[in-house]
Amino acid sequence: MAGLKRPGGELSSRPLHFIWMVDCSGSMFGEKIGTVNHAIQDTIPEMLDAANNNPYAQLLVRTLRFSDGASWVTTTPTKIEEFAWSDLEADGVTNLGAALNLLSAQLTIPPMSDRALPPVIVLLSDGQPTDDYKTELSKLLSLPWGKKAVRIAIAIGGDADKEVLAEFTGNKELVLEAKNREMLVKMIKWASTAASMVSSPASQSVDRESTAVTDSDTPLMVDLDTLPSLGADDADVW
Amino acid sequence: MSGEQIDIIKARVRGASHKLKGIECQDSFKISQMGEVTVLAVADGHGSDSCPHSRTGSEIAVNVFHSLMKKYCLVYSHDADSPKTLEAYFKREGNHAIAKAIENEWKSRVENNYRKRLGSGNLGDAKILPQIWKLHGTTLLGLVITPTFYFAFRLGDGDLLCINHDGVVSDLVIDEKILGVETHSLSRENAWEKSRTSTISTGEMDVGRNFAFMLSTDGFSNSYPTEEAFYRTCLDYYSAIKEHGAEIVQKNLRKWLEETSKDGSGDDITVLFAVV
Repeated sequence: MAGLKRPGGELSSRPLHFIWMVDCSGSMFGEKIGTVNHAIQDTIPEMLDAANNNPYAQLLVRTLRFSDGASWVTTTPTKIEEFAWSDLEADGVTNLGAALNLLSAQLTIPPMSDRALPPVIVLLSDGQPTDDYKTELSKLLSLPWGKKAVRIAIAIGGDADKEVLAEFTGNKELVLEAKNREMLVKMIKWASTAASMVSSPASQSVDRESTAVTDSDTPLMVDLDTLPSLGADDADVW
Repeated sequence: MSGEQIDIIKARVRGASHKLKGIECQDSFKISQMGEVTVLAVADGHGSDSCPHSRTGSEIAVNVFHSLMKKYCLVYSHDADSPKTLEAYFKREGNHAIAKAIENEWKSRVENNYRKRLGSGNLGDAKILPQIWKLHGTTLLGLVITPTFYFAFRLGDGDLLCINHDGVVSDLVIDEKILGVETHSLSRENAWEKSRTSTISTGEMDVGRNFAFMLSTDGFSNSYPTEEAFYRTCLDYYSAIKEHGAEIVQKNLRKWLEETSKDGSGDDITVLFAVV
């Protein structure tokens, strides 16, 4: 009887949701949205490698776009092995509130599992919201997973409203500035590595003092020391 | 249940992800029997970079629980009224004096252990003590089984369940669910405030003649997609014990938990069953 079959149901690694949340307003038209499309596409093999190196987290990726309203480009959480980037087009206004509303609906339990790893949300924007984002942001941050999510923002160009983005991240240090094409590529690449930083965490004490670098309720799970420096890349500025 | 045999089934496995990264197992457990009283404890060291001595912390935690419970329970068979007096004390002081005693004793032993290992002299500086506790961060689950009552203690994540013959799985101590990878910890200041206990008279538990208690670290439950799937699994383990016997399950348990970690959470897993 030593070879008895293991009791119990199907085993499962912990899901890790990674969401690209992209501003597709008219001001993103041209080089900005083109760079976003290429850079995110280029991160997929690296995210796949990172996921393969950690089989104990199931990396699920999807994209949320917003301009005149908001919509999921990838309708269901998709395994990184099956994820394909669909090029986004830019046109319209900046309905960040509508995007946050869709995001909140997906971060409630269910459909989110209470056994998931903290989700990673990367918001890319070059402008200012044109709808009531405050109510929707407050709704998002009132959700257990909304609070716990690792929220990163990339401010594209000089017109991006960094204050709004900091409200989203809850931490000014997690608002990454991309003043030109080169920096945008670097920041997108760095943000994509947040998945691997979150995917193999050890337990940690609920200890707000230890997370003094952040003014949010979220433990800082990404290593800011690895952030690309602005360097000499700020020669061409959007 | 006076005089009845309690079968203990136990296993601890190093997490599959820990093997991959060359990290030691940070779980600890301890079981002891003192006359009619059985004491079980499980602790899960945090394992994060900021807690490099969490294995030591978890070992100290299970030892502290045993030492203190033994001390309290010494009076259990003292006279006919002792069990009732003791039960009343656990009910009244579980969340207060007992929880504070566990925290204080753990911190004291951690400081002594750290001093011995580093050969450092005065660690009495209040500013550095919290840092030393943090280096040893751990959770703690404990259970005392007596013929007349059960005392369950929880500080942090993991599961402390009762599984009965009717297929009902219930939490012995309800606690808030913390999402993600954070947990309450013995290393926090005033950690006792986050502990949860329950003291249940044997007559109060509507569990029938046969049942089992299960203590497990969170690597076990995190290997299943939902709470329902995890509870069904606990019931399946109990069914396997009833069908094949404790000895057979004990022989297989380590292998099953290795498989669970490998195809599940990747975390260390410790599971103790006390079959009553």
